[in-house]
Amino acid sequence: MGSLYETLYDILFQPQVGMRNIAERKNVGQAFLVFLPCMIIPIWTFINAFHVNEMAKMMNIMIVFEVIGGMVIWILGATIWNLIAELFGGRGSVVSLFTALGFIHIIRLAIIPLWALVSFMPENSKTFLTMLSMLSVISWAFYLDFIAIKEVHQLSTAKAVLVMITPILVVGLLCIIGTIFIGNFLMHMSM
Amino acid sequence: MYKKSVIILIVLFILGSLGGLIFRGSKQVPSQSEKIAVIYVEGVIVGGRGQGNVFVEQGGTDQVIKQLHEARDDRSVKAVVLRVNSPGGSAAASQEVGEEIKKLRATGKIVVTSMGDVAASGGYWLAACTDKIYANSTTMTGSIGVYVPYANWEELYKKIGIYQEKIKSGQHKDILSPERAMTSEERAIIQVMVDDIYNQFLVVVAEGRKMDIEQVRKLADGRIYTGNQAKQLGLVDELGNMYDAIDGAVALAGIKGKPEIKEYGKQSPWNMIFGVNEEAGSLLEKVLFNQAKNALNSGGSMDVSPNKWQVK
Repeated sequence: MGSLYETLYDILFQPQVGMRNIAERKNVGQAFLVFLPCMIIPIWTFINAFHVNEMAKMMNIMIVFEVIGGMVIWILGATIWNLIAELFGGRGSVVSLFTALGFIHIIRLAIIPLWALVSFMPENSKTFLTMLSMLSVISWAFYLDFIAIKEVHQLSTAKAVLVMITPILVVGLLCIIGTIFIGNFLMHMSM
Repeated sequence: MYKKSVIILIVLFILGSLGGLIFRGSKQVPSQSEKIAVIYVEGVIVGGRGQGNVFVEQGGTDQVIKQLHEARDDRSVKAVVLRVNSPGGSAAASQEVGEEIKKLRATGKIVVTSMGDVAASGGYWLAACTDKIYANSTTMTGSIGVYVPYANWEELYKKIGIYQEKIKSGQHKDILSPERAMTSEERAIIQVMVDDIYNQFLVVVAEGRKMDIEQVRKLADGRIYTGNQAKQLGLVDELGNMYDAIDGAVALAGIKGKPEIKEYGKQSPWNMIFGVNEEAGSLLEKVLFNQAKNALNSGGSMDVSPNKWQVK
């Protein structure tokens, strides 16, 4: 367990070193150990602390969906980014990247102290601050994703950024092409 | 060791925040705001489960009864607004819903009717069971009465050469059959039944409206009234739209502040996107509504056809 503490410390305070170590150790079991509570605790807190009555009725289902959804995104993220990183000349393995992305879920817990802080703020600013806190956690997670890709695959900063944004660019491009095709099809239909 | 201490401190800090959030949340449990339930009675009132799918539920009074039950069991619901837009329908189905409204009122909850375009016959039966009735001045209401539709196609059958044989267990088993004329004895039987249901209807209106039964009888010759006329005759309490009815329910229930409105029933995604559109509604609803419009145009009384009694 000692190495888990060290890994978590490194992720939070010296992410480059942390990601390099994770890539070497490939401890998938520990990544799962971090992933599960980090998926469950924030949603449980949200439902119970904010008394979302409608959601409370379906809490168990929501937690299951959250975990399954998180798992799918984790696996897809690891495989797609790994594939693109290899295309860009990356030298890491998919297991290393998968493990690193699993550890990054620890950042989700940062939302809890932020919510606690927001709960003391004036009522009219709460929504904005809640959104801001979530955005900051997401940004931090993205930064760590970037570090993970960079360190696991030993890529340059520019290439790591490209690997990160390539899936978004591809999806955007597909949407544009799809819109053009559908628009063209509808235009012919109406004529 | 240093790294372990830092992580333990962070975990403790997160746990502390979590505890604080839960504790603070428990102190600020939002008091269940007082709600006004809005239940819709639309189209022809027919018994049964109607038609439903994942997206929408429609037709059949079982749904309305279920919604009334839910409103009764929901402690936060202080009053119910029954939005009636119906030309009537089956007597039994109307009675069933009417009795459920009375049970709801017996729990101390207020029930107010808001009449839409039409709230006639069975629609009025339901309204009469509520605490207060709101109608638009042009709403078509009234039509307090009962009829049993009957068609005699005997001559037509003869012309096209159809002769139906029946083996009956009793002489009145095929009463109201369209292939022969009704006997005077059968007419008397049906008339007694119609009168019985009519009298039950009169009692419901007299009790609900706190009117003398003879006074109701004078108004209940089957004719329809505008909301304006109905108000003058005491069949309606106030003129106003659904939001006036909601305000009325708020006042009667003694709710302070703005209540939360809770609408029952599913709205179809089609209607959510494009608004209420008859064409987009189900075929069943269209057919039933057209039937009802025809009934109303021809003097509109409560349809108590034997089909609805299930005595065939």
